[in-house]
Order: sequence, then C-alpha cells, then structure tokens
Amino acid sequence: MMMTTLSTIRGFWDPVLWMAAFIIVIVITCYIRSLGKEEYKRGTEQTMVFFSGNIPPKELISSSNIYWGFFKAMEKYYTCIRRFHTGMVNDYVYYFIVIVIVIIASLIIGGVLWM
Amino acid sequence: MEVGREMFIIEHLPALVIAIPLLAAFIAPLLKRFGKHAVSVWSILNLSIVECLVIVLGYRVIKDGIQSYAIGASIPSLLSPNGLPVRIILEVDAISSFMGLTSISIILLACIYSACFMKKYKSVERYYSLLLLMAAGIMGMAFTGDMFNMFVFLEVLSISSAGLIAFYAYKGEAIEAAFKYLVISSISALMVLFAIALLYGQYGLLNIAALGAAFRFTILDKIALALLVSAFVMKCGAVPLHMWVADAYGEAPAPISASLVVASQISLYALFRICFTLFGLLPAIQIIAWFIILFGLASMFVGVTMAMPQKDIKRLMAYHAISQTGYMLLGVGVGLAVINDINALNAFGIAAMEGGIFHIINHAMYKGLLFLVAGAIIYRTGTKNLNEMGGLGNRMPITAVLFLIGMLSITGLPPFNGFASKLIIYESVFLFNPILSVVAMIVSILTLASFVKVFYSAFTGQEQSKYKDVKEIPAIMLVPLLILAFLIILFGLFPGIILKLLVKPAVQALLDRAGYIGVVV
Repeated sequence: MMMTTLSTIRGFWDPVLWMAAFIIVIVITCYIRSLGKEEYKRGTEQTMVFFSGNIPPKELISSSNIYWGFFKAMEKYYTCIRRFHTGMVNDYVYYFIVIVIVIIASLIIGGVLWM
Repeated sequence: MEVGREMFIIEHLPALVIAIPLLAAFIAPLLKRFGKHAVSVWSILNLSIVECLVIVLGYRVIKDGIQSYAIGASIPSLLSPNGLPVRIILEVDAISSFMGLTSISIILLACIYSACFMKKYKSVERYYSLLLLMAAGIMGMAFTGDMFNMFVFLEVLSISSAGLIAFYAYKGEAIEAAFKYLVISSISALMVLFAIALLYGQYGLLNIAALGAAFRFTILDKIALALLVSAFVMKCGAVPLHMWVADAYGEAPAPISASLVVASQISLYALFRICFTLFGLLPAIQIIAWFIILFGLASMFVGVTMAMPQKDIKRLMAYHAISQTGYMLLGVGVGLAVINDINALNAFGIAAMEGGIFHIINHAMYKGLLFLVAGAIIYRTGTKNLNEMGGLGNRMPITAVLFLIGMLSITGLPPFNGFASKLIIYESVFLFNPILSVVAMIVSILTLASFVKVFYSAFTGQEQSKYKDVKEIPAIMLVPLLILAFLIILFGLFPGIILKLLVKPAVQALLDRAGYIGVVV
C-alpha cells in the first residue's frame, strides 16, 4: 500500500494511480484528436458555437436560462417545494414545533414498542 | 522558568483556547485608535495563537488520551473531588479537537481574508470583536463537558453570528436575515435550556459524562432528547429546519459565510455528542438515528434542488451547504443506527461514520474556499447576481482556477478531497440501504450541474463590457484561498493518512462512550 492509498470496505482508492490513468487517457484523446481534419476555415460557420443547429443569439445567455428544460420537467416539484420556502419566520417556528412533536411522539410510542 | 511557563500553558490549554479569543474580543475595539490594521492584526495574531494551541492540544489528545480541565479548581486535573463533578469541566477528546481544529483554521483564514475584504468599511473593530467572540463560542462548544456551559457558548455563538450577519446594516435584507437567525437561534437555545432543566431536575447534574452515567431513560429523558435533537438539527441547517441558512449565509459578508459553515458544523458536533455520549445506550436511539438519516436525505436532495435555480451566487452556495450537511448526517446517522449491532457496526457502521466525519473537514475547506471565491467576485464586480456576470475568467484567472478546485471537490470528482469522503459514504451506506446511497450519488450529479452553471455564468461566456477593468483580487485575499486549495489537493492526494491521523481517532472517540464518561465519573 502506498502513502496515497485509501482502503475502503470493498477495495481501495488511490489518487496517484487514478491520475496516471487520467494522463494516459488524455494522451490517447489528444492523439485521436490530432488525426482529425485541420483544413477548417476560421470565422465561418465551421467554427461557430453549436446551438442545436440554430444561429447563436448575440445577447448574453444568462444563468437563469440554463437548465430551463430541467426546471420545466420538475415544475410540480418546484411549485411544491417553494410553497414551504415562504421566507416568513413564523413558518420556520411552526416547522420546528411540528418536528419537535413528531420526534417526541415517535420516541414515546417507539420507545414503548421497543421495550 | 521557561519550563515552568511551558508547563503552565500545557496544563491550562483547554481553558486558554477559549479564554484567548474571548478576551481578545473585548480588547479589539480599544485598538481602533491605532488604526484599522491594528485590529485586524490583533485578531489574526490571537486566532493564530489559538490555532497553534489547538494543534498542541490535539497532539496531546492523540498521545495521552482525553484532556480534562476543571475551571476554577486549584488543581485543574482534579475533576470530582467528592465523587461529583461540581465545577464546569472541559473535556477534550479526539472528536472535539478535530472539530476545534477544523473550525479555528477556517475562522483564521476568514480573518486573514477580512483584513483586505473589510477594510473599506467603518466599524471594523466591531466586526473583528464579533468574529473573535464567534471563535470563542465555537471553541467553547467543542471543548466543554458541561451541558449548561454548552448552552452558554451556543448563545455566545448565536449572538455574535447574528451581529456579523447584520454587518451590512444599510441593507434591509441583511437585517432581515439577522432577525430570522436570531429568532431561530433563540428558540433553539430555549429548547436546549428546557432540555437541560429536564435533565437537571431529575439527576441534579449538568456534566455530560456524569449525566451519561446516571441515565434511567425516563419519558422526561426522551423529551429532553427530542428537544436537543430538534434544536441542534435546526442550528446545523438540516431540512426541514433549514430556511434560515440561505438568508444568513447569503447576506453575511463572504468571510462570515465561510465562518458560519463551521458554526453550523459545531451544532452538528453537539448533535452527535448528545446522541452518542449522552443517549448512546438509550434503547430507542435507533429512532433518532433514522430521523438523522431522513434529515440527511432530505437535506441532500432539497438543498441541491433549491440551489439549482438560484441566481444569487451566495444563496446558491448556501443551499449547497445544506445539501452537504446531508452527507454528514447520513454517514453518522447510519453509524448511530447500527450502534447496538456490533457486526453491522464493524462491517459498515464505523466506515459510514468515518465518511461523515471526514466530510465535515472536507466541506469546511471547499465550502470555505467557494464562499471566499464568491466574496472575491463580489469584491471586484459589486454584484452577487449570476445573470450580471460573465467572462470573468479572463480578468480573474487565478480566482477562476481556485473556484474550479472548490467546484470539483464539492461535486466529489477525483482526485479532490470531496471524492474520498463521498466514496466512503457511498460504499458504506450502500451496505446499509442501497437506495440511500443512490440518492447520495444523484445529489452529487446535481451538484456538478449546479456548479457548472455558476462556472459558466461567472467565469466563461460572453465578457461583460462593464467588467473590462476588473483585476485579480489583492494578494492578501488570495493567500487564504491558495491555502485552502492546497489543503483540498493535499487531503485529496493523501486521504488514507488524513483518515488515520484525524478521522479514525475522532470516530473512535465518538464511539468510546465509556472512555469519555470514565474520565469524570
């Protein structure tokens, strides 16, 4: 075992070995890339940013536009979860009281069953 | 003479690491007449001394075992002169020194960063005074062996943190965040006090070790346990009691956001201390363990999914802090769930706890780094809004690389430190319940997606004309960032050594209930 090795339950993790493998993969990738065509023309559509076949917009794509598909797909989840994030401190205290009651009830009922 | 002084310091180490920042906090405002720099230098100096003392204390704990100290006693090592611990006792084992070291290191680096970050503000002496008080509160919570003393330090920590969150008092949002934090902290502290009263009323004891030995597991004990667990879960910012985190971390100055990470982690430590040392033998502790696991699971998922749509860089990181707290709760919760099953504990319980505890120090480092990078962006651009950023990588290349290191670490990509702790958690939790492990992995993927968005929005993309004059941050601000990045890489490259030197002793200390109690009783 080297100094960098971390033994885990089912095996081990060695960052130095991983980095060695990573460098080998990078070298192979660069080699494969070097086999590609080099006769592309700068400033033409050949070097334009790929934007799903469309012309890229000139204005800034802001962070709010990123992952819009994910948020659309998860709309129901976000509607539900945002309902709890009211920003009101009264609600925070209410959640706390609910959690205290649930834990006390579980401990007392569960404790009786456990014994 | 020198040897005598050295012995004096070593004998009083547990008290000194609390007393130094506490006294320095009261002296700091007086130094303003010598200039702003005098206050920052004073704070850095004192925190550096505490850092050194905590390292020495940790070394003594590893070498000689638990270090204890009876406050006010003529012989500090004489803990129970009449068989009962009547004085406030500080008890430092491997887990408390682990937490102390983690916390003080981040606060020291935040303080160095503040020397430049906060210099344009008036009343910096109040800022440093509160920061030193915060350090004293954290150190007190980590090293105390007394329940009421823990409550006192919790209050010291809460009040100083609230003051720091409200530092930008000209902004309404900061005042609102501080108010919310104060309400939450007051209620938590009240519940802790009520739980202590329940325990004191039954046993006439406040010492954690003595209480642990005297327990009869009555219904009042269970109510006290529920109150303590709820209070510390809220203070550590776990879902569903996490609502204050985004406001507090988001509105506080960046170095304070980094310090609040370790302030939350010390509540996590208090939760673990209560569950393992105080109530470890309670037959129904598995119920609490499952609550901790469920809080962890909810924190991981809700934290990361709430982070993804955020536009404010610091609120986004605050939600990620909630998500990462979930990993720690999950790991240690699994260990607690199998604490009475020696086979399961040896097979995967201890490993799960090691993953959870290792994640505490890793999280403190990479989240500290990320908050300080966020502060660097705000320092140069004046905005927290990701929609208004872009192309900063050209202007702030070192900051961009440091952000990348923090980002790769929090997402759990090899070879950074976040990967090592997450790997241990995935593997051990999988043996307990595969579904929990799968959720943890999905959360890591979502974390990566979220931080790719931040990296794109802030550092790549189209350059904003209004930021064409933006420069790299000053060297003094870069130093703490570079130290944290170095530690992240170091911990990532040598996870086995860190686990052996720091994490395993901490986990063993948490499990060694008899050892902790035996020092006092």
